[in-house]
Amino acid sequence: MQSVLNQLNAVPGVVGSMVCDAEGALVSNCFPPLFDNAALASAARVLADGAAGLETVTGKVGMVDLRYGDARIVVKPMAGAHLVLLCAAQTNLQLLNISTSVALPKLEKLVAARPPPVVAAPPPAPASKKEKEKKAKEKAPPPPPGEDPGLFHW
Amino acid sequence: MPSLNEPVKRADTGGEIVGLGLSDVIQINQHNRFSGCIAIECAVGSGLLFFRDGEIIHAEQGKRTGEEAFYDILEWPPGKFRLQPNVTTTRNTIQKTSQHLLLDATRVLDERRAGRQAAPPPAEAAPRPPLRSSEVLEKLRRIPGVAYAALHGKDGSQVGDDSYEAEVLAGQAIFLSMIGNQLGALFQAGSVLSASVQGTTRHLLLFATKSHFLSVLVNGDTPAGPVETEVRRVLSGAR
Repeated sequence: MQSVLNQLNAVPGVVGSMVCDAEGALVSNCFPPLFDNAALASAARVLADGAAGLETVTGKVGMVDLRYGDARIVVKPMAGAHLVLLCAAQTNLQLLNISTSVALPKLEKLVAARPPPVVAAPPPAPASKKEKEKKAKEKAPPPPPGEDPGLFHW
Repeated sequence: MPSLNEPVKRADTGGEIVGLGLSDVIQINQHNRFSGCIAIECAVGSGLLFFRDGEIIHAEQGKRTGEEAFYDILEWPPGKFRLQPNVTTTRNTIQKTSQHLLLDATRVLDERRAGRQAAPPPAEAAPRPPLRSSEVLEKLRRIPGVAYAALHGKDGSQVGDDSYEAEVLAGQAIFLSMIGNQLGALFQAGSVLSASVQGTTRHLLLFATKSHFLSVLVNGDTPAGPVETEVRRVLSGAR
């Protein structure tokens, strides 16, 4: 996947690219070291949260093109994932489209071939009420002699 | 290699590509290291651009050649082009790289436009007042392919249009700008200035100003690019 992203980065104007899955996890990225993984992972989550909302008016989304003062973010949805490209503002979108249309099927295959995520072991079941009371009794120190046992001690 | 005087028997490639300008074709040719000729025809005239290894080496239109001819061709309205691979010329009237030439072209064309605008207007032509937002919206809705257009505040409040369509559009635009701004902040790109979402049933175009959003909904069977160009033309005319 890294090599496909590297090829996309070779398109004039492309700064970096990444693939994130529908659950908001960062699958692979090819960004300069200046972009830390935490920011890229957050971007992946933003996309996963927002993707469904965008489809309410437009139907199935083919491309999202976001333009900023000096940059452009192009998002291409694919089967079970999103391809995100950070580009310079003047990047030729037609040229980029030619490259992404070649890269997308390859990335889709690679995303589909990924091993399923490891499911974490379920946390231990919470202790029952009786067990909790029993433990509390064991832990609580006995009241000083001659004092009302109903008082709390700090 | 055959010259222009010796017609080539190879199949030529020709056509019209909606939303793809001549400058885009030049950049693609540069990327592909194309050698040959592009013959351009439009209502204004016809011209030829010769490429060698992706770089433009010669341009001609009418009696003009070189950079001036190239700038003239780039200024023409949309027309048809024909790619003729392996057609070459012995003339070499352009020494700049294609990238350099395109950059210079934007400057030269800007200067030409400015020169035209600076020309004294006819005496009877009164200065045109800027269009009101409702007039702009009416103009935008008349663009072929536009399903709806609405103006709204950045808080989602509707401006001059209380219809259900405008409310839906405002909500969608705010949502899109929110995603755009979040991504912009994460990538240190700032606030989103404009955006487009290309969908199967509709396309959504968003244009941001300091305090407002303009949202344009385009029918899914119409390419979003040319509609966006037309919207920008209307907006620049409204200023």
